[in-house]
Amino acid sequence: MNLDGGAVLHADPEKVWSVITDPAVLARTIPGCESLEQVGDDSYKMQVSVGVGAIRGSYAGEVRLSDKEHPTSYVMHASGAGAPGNVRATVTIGLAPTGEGTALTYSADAVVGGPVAGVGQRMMTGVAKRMAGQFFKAIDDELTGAVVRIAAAPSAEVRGVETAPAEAPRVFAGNAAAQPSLSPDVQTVLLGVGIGGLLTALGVALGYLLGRRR
Amino acid sequence: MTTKLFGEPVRRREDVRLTTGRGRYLDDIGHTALAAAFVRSPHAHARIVDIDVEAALDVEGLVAIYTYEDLTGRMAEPLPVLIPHPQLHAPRTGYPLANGVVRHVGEPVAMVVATDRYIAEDVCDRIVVTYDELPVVVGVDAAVAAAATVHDDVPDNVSAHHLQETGDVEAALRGAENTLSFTQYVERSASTPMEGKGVHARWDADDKSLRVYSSTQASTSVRAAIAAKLELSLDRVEVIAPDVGGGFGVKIVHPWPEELLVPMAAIALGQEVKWSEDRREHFISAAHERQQKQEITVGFDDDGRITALDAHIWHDNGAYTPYGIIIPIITATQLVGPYVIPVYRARVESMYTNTVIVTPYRGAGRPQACYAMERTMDRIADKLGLDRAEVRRRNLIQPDQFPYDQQLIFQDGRPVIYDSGNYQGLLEKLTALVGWDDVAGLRADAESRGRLLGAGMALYVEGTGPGPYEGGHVQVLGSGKVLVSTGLTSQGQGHETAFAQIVATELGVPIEDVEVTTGDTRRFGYAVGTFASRAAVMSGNAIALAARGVREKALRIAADVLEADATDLEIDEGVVQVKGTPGTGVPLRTLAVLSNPLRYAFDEAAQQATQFAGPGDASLPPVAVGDAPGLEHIDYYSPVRSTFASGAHAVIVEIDPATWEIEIVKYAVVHDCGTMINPMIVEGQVHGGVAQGVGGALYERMAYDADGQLQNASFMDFLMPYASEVPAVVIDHQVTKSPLNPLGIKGAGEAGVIPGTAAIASAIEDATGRRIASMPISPTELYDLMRDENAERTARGTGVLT
Amino acid sequence: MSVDLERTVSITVNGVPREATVPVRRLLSDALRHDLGLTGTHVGCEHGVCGACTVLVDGEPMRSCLLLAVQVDGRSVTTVEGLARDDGRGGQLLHPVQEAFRECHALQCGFCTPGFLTTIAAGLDARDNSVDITDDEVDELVGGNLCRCTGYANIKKAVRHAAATMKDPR
Repeated sequence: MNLDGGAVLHADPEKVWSVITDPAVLARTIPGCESLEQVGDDSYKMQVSVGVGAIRGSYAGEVRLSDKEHPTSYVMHASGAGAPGNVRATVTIGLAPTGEGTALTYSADAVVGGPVAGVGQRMMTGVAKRMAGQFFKAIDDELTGAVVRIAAAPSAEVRGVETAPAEAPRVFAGNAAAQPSLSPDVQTVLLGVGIGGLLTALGVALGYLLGRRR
Repeated sequence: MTTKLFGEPVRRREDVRLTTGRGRYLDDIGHTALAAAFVRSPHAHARIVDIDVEAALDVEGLVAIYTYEDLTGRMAEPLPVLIPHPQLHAPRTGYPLANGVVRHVGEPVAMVVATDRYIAEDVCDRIVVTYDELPVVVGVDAAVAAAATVHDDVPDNVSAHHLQETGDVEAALRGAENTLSFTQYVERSASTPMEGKGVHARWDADDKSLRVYSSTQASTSVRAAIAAKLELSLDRVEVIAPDVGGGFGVKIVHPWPEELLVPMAAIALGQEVKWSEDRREHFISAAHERQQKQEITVGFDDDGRITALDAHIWHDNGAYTPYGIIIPIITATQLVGPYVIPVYRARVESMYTNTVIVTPYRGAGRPQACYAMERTMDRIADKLGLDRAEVRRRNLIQPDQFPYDQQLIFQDGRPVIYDSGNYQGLLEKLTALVGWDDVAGLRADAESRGRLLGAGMALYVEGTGPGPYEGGHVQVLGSGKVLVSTGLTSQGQGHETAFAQIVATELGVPIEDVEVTTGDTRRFGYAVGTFASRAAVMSGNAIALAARGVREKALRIAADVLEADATDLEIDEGVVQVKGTPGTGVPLRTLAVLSNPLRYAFDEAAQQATQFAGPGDASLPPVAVGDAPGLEHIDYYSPVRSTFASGAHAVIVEIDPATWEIEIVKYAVVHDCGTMINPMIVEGQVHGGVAQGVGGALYERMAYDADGQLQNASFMDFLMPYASEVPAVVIDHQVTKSPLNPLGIKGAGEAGVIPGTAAIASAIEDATGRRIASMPISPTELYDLMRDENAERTARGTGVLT
Repeated sequence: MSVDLERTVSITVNGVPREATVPVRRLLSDALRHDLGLTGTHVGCEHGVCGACTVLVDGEPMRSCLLLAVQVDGRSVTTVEGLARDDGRGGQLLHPVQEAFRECHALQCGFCTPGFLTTIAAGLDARDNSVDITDDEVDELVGGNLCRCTGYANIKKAVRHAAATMKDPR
């Protein structure tokens, strides 16, 4: 499936970078994010718990970044799996200054497999777009100071935030934790943005399907 | 002594479950299945601009939404043209889900799957489809005028020019002593069974197989279509018709979009999916039939004998032609009826309109044909001042003229050759039954009561039992049960009983031991379907042949066991014995065991068939060369051509000149379907057909307006006859057996409906003295017609509500 | 998305107390068929015209497609499955109208049949069967249900047959 979209973020590109490079911000703006863990250069593991209504499911995702052209664009390679299906995606993300602040665009090319692939393209893209929209709204709220907690995994554990350099695994907690801000880490930023646009969409779609199972 | 049940009014076996609420219809199956529902076009002709599902995503219980973009491979191709024909020069079919364009109200645009039907409909309500409306064509006149087109690449809206001719009709007309011409219309109606369509699909992911239940008349062919479209091997698909609540033709066209989409969803989602349509869906997406405009020119001598007949007909085939031109062919070939027509030409233009597809409804073009021929007879009689029965008599094919070749090509691709019949006999019985010669007296009596009275009649010949074939499998089990299966389907015709009667009679077993299965591809894989009054002719004969095969084998084995000659043996009450010596034989169930040489005895009875149970002949193999284990036989009946049933109806109507209400005070039927397996069932078929004939003549029409909107898509406004609308019917029978098949059977399923419109139109005309040139006709329309001398037909008669 | 309001209804169906928790918009026809598993009642139109869905509510024939399940909470419903009586020996004693339908070939596809059976059974049970049934009464009993297969002739015959049996059971 192909998913193209964008968002307008109300801050200049530098402010946007500082917010979206904050892993604590990402951990609480990506719907359902439980933890983010750096496992190598440009590569991360994420645990997401998402659902609709009373339905929850936990999914493991991996992301790798490439083709970084700071500060205008990069490519993210993501994959995720859960019982109802799996996804592999390549997402191209662009950032450009505009009158209102920053225009962010994303273009995703995804291959979805397993039962979740059977729900029909319009429903899948509809759900993905909706979740992407939710994520970018949350980012925008962070930027404008109107921080809104997205209901995600309230019971997620708060893990300690590493301040050491990148050798040690860097793990960032979910929404429940309030974290001191860290020096911007572009990779985490980019990871977060990409995941927000895609994996959470997958997760929710999976969640829909999980909820339909009887 | 077993009573021979063939020909007896045996009470139906299926009624045991159907009167106690234990039928198993499509919607009774699959309680845990997901439910499908459809977003259907509200426009008769439009381009789809956008399909927005955003608002639907919030509905709790939503599982999937499919549109054309989700169809891949062969599913993305148009639906098949089931019956191609060289004269069908512009066939067009739709897609399972609309591909950018919709061409009739009701065409499916999106399929929704949800946890139950209520929720699925909630989702459908929230899906927003944006359309660009396009010009609409409704009714054959608008189709011909072609100010707008249904398909961009069919500029004249004609899908086919069907032509059948037996000579130079124009020359013959020029040479005729008399000619007359007229135009008449008949409007659209539909089968409208009490149960709509439905599909249930289950995909077994472990063995990668699909099981589909469908309320269909052609399960074998649906199976082939699903396998082809979903790109599955045929052996991975089974289709079963469960109990079906009526078909009358509407369930013969296939594959419905739903028959493909529901299995597709079941596979994609890994769960059972079920769809049962509601009544409005049925009105706007299941098939209709009947609408035609007919221009007839006939040449005849001063005695009323026809010398030439030219019929030019425009047939409304709806938006697509999945069923080809079968109805035009049937109209063209059956129009000649029981008459000698020296020179004949039929030209049927099959026209596209922005309405629901047109595929067979009981009669399948014959009612229209009968209407054309019989009203021609009426006009000849009128012109010459002759009695209408007498004119018909003078034109009838005589009993000694069979087989009679009408020199036409029928819907089975074979010649129209009437195999047997006695049309003279039909007419004589009819005039006696209805009291044709007493009508003048009845009219005077009615007049004294201030009422108008009229009589009408119509004769028909019906080609039934077209091929290519049907098959039968008869198997005797070691338990004594006799299993019978055939591939065609049942929708209430009593096949479980009629076919059991055949086997009970052929095999000499109690009917209680016989169990019949129809329409299940797991049980019988080669079949065509139930239509054209063919089940008794085709499956009846095939099953008889299969039973005879079993009988022959049983006698052969018994001859060995009883050390007698097979010709000295008979089967009575399931026991094979020497003729006339009860108590000394061997039961069929034992022969069934013995027919299957065993190594392992799984029960006590089976011990008889094991290797040490009795003296064997060590020089011969246990199963002889060319033989097979088991007491069973499969056989097929494949006819060289169709057989021709016939009949005649007469109607007496009384009309109240104040309200113009039309009451049928007498309805007489003479009916010839050859050999009857179960006369009670045959009569039931006649009763049901007559009710549909009366409905079509006086009450039923699909009221499309010029925008292609169906104004009466419910039982509140589409007038299905209740008991109060259906007259009592008196029936007489005639039997002219068919020489074409072993049992001598001709079909009976459609007979009751064929002449209704013609006979009733004739009677109303006789009562009022007013030309009736469009049917159906309501009291209001009759009133308007009576007041307007210049009107040629009723205001709605051309089939478009204005 | 809002949650459907649900209610638990208690209905005595065919003499047996049953309970079901259903959305308030659930039609009685669907509740009987899908929530209670009694698929004998059929749905032909969902707009109250064909009568195939007719059941008896406290003995009165009603269109179950025009009733919500919640409307019969606390009441008794008889469906076609409940027309026969236990014969006390593990078998079933059919209602005379069920026997009559079989005897008179008053059904073909069987889809409309349950609605006729419940309506006619109620009508015959309510009348004084020591008196012969009249044509008008027969017409009244069959006049509100649609059948597409039989043309009604044998249905009327079955009504007369059933009434005669109830007058003079043998």
